[in-house]
Amino acid sequence: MVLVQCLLALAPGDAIDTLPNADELRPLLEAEWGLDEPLPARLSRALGRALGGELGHSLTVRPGSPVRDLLGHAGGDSLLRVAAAAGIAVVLGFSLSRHATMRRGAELLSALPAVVLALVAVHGINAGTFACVERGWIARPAWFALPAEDHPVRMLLAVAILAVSSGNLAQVAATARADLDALRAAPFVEAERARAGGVSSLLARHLLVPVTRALAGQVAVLLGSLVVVEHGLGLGGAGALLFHAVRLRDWPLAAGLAALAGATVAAARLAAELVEVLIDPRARGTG
Amino acid sequence: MRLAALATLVALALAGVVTPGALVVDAARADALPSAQLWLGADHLGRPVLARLAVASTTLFPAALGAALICALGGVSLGVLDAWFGGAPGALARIARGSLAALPRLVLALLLVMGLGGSPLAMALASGLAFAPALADAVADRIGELNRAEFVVAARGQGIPDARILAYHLVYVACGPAIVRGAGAAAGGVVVLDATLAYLGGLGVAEPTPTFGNMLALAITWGGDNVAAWAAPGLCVVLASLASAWTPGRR
Repeated sequence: MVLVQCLLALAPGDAIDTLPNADELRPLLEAEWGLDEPLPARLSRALGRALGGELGHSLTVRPGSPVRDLLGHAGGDSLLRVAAAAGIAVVLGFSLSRHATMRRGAELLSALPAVVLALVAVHGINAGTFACVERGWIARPAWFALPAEDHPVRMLLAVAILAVSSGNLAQVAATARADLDALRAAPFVEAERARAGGVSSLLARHLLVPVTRALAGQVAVLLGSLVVVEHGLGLGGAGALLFHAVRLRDWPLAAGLAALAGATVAAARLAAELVEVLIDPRARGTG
Repeated sequence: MRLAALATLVALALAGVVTPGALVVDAARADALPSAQLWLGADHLGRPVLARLAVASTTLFPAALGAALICALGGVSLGVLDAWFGGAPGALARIARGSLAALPRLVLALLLVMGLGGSPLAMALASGLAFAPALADAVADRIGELNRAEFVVAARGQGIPDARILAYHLVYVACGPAIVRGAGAAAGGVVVLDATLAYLGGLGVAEPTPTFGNMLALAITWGGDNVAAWAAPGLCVVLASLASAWTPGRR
């Protein structure tokens, strides 16, 4: 919130410049939005309102709509996609951690940024489908060339790109592999094995801590990739909304979305610490 | 592979310094396919793809250098304040580090682009600030670990000033590889950021100045028969993201 207000003060223009009747509305909107106030006053006002849960109204993307409502609508879908992507990354990462060759391939694929994977996936699938439809090999699929629809195929593709890109999969696979080796040699696992007990569930439970920590570290990357994926696949959500807010310089909406992203990252880190406390008795300080 | 990626980009950048004709529009050779005269063909305006690629590899060089510097200075300052000085400055550094780390890289970049426009400065700031918290963590951990090490205690006993112990023994020698790794990641991050912003709809460096990002976005928007027009800059983005993960002495 502080960063956005500072940028607003530094910016060469303002949100009013993007309106068609900017000159006419300027005095009215400057007073209403506080654009004529000095930075400290604007900062304290914005922070006070944000702490009270008041994030202001959208200026240009959905003029007049409360930012809180827009975040509620768009944020839910996007967070669901991020959670699904994190789940897929965990399942695939665990599976790949057992196979060295596949793991190296996944690491290479995962080194690609989301923008490259989104480009390849979107344009590859669009060009391939178009060629098949044009030659009469298949009828036009329902999800093809309908940018306004959140079709399940598009959503699955978005989740898959999110799960794999920007190091997410590689991070989980590498963490699972490294910690699996250390855990297998740990005294408590040796003891369980000596008692002829099953060690698989014990290993999985203790691997959950480093993997959750690795995923929590990747949540910021996942949220960034969300903007690319939702824009590329024509899906509605917080990422697409942020893109429009930036294009139309809707400062309150952009600030609200940035705050939501920050809160999500903080919540993911807190959740990772809670998982550690629940699973590892040493983290509770009880020995 | 990472070293090869870096070498390819450096060779392209050196070629870019002496390459003429990257901005010359020639409708007669629009969408020309690769040939002996035009190794990677031409784009939709007849501009040679290889020459533009060479120039593009130099366009973002100042921004990449700026990002590396911002990351190195910011990360080292925050890490040193936390682990060496502690107290109120350390707490403030931890708050700044946590706040920056909580903001996704692309969200930070978009906010900066909104404020400063799609300039190299905005991209250098975004990439430098985004990678600084990870470097600060590494520096703080390393200094915290070595603060009471025998060689540091011995150096103090020999009367070596604290400033020299911090700057040379702890930051330069002990944290050097981490700083190079962080700065390299920030420099490579500029290329990926530019490609992402261009893909999102011309938010990066504007045409006609070529960057890998706007070449890729433009080639995809216009279509055309010359596959190299989008494949070559796309490959350069991939090479840049691979090269940015390369660190001297690290396999």
